[in-house]
Amino acid sequence: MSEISKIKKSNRAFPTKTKEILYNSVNECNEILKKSPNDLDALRTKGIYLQELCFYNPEHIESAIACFDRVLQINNEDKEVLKRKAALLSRKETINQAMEYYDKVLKLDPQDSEAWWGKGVITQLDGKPYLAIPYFDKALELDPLDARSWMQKGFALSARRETWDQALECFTKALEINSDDSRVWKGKGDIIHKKNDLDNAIFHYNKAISLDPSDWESLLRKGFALAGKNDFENAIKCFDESLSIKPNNIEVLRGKGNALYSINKYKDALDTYEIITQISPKSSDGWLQKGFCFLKLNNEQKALYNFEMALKINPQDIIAQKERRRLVGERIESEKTISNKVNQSFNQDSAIIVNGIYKSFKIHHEKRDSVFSLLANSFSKNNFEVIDILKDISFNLNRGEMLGVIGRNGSGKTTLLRILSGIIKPDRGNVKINGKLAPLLQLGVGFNGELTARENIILSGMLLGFSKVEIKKKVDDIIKFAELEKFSDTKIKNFSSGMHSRLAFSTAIQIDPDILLVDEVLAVGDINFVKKSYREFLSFREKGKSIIFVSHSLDHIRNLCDRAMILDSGEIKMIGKPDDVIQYYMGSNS
Amino acid sequence: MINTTKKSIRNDISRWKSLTIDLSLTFLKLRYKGTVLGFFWSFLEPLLLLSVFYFMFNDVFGTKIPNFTLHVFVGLILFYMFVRGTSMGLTSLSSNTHIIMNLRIPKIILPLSYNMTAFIMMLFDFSIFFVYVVVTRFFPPTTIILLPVFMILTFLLSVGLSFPLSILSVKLKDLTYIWILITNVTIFLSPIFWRMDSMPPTIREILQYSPWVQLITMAQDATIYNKLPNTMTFLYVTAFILAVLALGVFIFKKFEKKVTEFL
Repeated sequence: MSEISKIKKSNRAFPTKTKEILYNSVNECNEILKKSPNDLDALRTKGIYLQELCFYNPEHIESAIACFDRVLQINNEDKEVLKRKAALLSRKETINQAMEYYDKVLKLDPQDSEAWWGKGVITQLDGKPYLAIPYFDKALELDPLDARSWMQKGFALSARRETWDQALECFTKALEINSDDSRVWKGKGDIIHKKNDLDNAIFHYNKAISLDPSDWESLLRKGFALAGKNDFENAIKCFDESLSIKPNNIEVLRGKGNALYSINKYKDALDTYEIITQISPKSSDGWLQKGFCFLKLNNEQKALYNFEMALKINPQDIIAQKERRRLVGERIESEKTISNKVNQSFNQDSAIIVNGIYKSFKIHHEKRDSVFSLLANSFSKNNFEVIDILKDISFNLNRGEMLGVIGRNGSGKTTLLRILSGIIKPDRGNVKINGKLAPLLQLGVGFNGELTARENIILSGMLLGFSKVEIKKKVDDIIKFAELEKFSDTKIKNFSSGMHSRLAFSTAIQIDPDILLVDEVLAVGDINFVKKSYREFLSFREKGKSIIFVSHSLDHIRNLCDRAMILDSGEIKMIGKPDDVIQYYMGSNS
Repeated sequence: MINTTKKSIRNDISRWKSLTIDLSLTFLKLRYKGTVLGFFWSFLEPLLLLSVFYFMFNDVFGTKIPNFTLHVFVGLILFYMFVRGTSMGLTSLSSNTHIIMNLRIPKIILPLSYNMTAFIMMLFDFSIFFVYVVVTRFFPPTTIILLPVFMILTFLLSVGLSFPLSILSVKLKDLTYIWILITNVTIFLSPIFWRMDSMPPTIREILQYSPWVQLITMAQDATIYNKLPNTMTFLYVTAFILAVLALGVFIFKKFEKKVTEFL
């Protein structure tokens, strides 16, 4: 369920009367208006009734707005009407206009909590739940007993994990004031569900369902919670009920399919997934799940077909790739011929081939890093967790290509580079490298403050892989490039950090490999130096070197790289043209 | 994993060799950098020590062992080589994490070059011997040509121990202090201030099995007393040290992959 539809629903004023009464009332108003077309009261009431009718039939929005417009022509300081018009406009997704009307209300009366609430709701509709919170706070300051604002604030706070506890408090407050609102029960249940307290969440969903029997979303959530408790039978019942209210909803269907799959009813699950692929053939998930069902039903041919369909929609789908490869490998090719193929393609145009690299680290719960603690605890068990840093990474780097890698901190970028450099060995998978490779993971490795610039260049150069003779020839050029001619015999402990990084970069850039791995080392020193190093870096590209380039600077990725790759918690999320990848990355981060 | 031809492997080995030598010289340079007397410390340190022993044992206490000052001196330079080599080797990986984690060089270079530093320092220490010869008009026996052999054996023992210690100390941070404690005890278990001959027979019985005691005794005998080592003893000591070295290399190769995970 999308956040927006949740908000839209809560924004809808619940009608106080039935459809027939409302129609009658509108007709009564029309009678009055025939006699005196400018009767303000009648216009207002008609508008309000029309607005309430929108709950049954959204077509009335336009006529309601027209009604309110006429009222406002006569009296443009009618707060109630302004607010109602704003609410209607926000339903039409003309957010800016709605905002204007709330602002007008607030100009007339800054103490109007309802207008503040409205502004918050609109901001939320606009997809910025965090900016909405101050508006709700303002509304609550003016009217602390406003259950709606408490609820909306709760929804806004639900958006981020860090504020779940605050959201729970808001929902609790809202329920203290008014315990008959199913939406609040559902919102509270959602958070409890996310925090994995399943029983409690089910209790809340039950409350919501009993208050509003047509609430299919709560039913869906209850189903998920039950499935989380491995109570698949009841979960399926919930999904079925939900489907009877909202037939053909993909999310519900998916939940039902997964539950059926979990209790080994593969045929029924298959039917369910079949519906998904019929309704939305663009969903790779549906195809994938169907593939798995066929696998369980021992129909490899059809499973393969489904995995291939999933791959057609999303070529980056690693699970589908793996399954397909497995099936194809089982049927047509043995492992050996595949690796021969890899070798052949490798010799032609690849600088690096990475094949299914997997790496995990053990994180011990208790740190035993001294002889004493090792002896003291030698009889107790030290539990550990295994954290996957890289999960089955496969890609290749073409000769002369520059591949940019982006990803959040901790997504495994540096570990990947270290594995490619041979500093760390992967648990599984292999790397093939064609040519001389040089890692540039950090600047100034091996620098020592007690040595002079000249001595440091020689030491660092030798560590980077030069022979002493080679590096001695280059020392003067390096010092010149770093613009440190005056300080060549100064101990670098007296250098500023800028001088230090300039020296380090100038030394590092001298290496002349076929393949270069670079981790965040561009952009040191002042603007002129950055330009200079940028040029130097470009010359690497022009010489036709293959480069893997890790950077947080999306500009660099866009301007320099031929391809880009997103790494997210150890998996390749996307690999392709830099512009597309950056767009995807920005989208997934906002 | 990395595609290399035979030629580039040979290139690599010569490169690593020169890198090891260069690193050990740099470590040596760094040891005295930033001190007022600089390089002279490396001569001053053993000279002062030798003078103290000379006056103490000849004039103050008096001793029955002939050439006792030289006896102490030979024992001490070998002992210091061992202590410096192992203690620098022990921290060689844990104090150079930035190199290990960011560059592709064989890790074994690090403990090796620190031990070479210790070896060069021992050679500086030994130069004082010539001062002693001039001052006391002591004429060294011909067997002194065997001294380098014992120096190299000490070096190999220190290297063999440094390999496993360097890996262990990455995981166990307090190993450095424990090792200082152990070496402090070792100085009294070494025949530096005493001689095997002057020990009661029962203790001598046990001591003769200690390769360390035998090694130092053989070096002292060759340098001062014109005594060739017993062939069996010599083979026993050499075999022991080579075994330690082989085991050390084996352990290092086996566990060096783990080092990057502890850091």
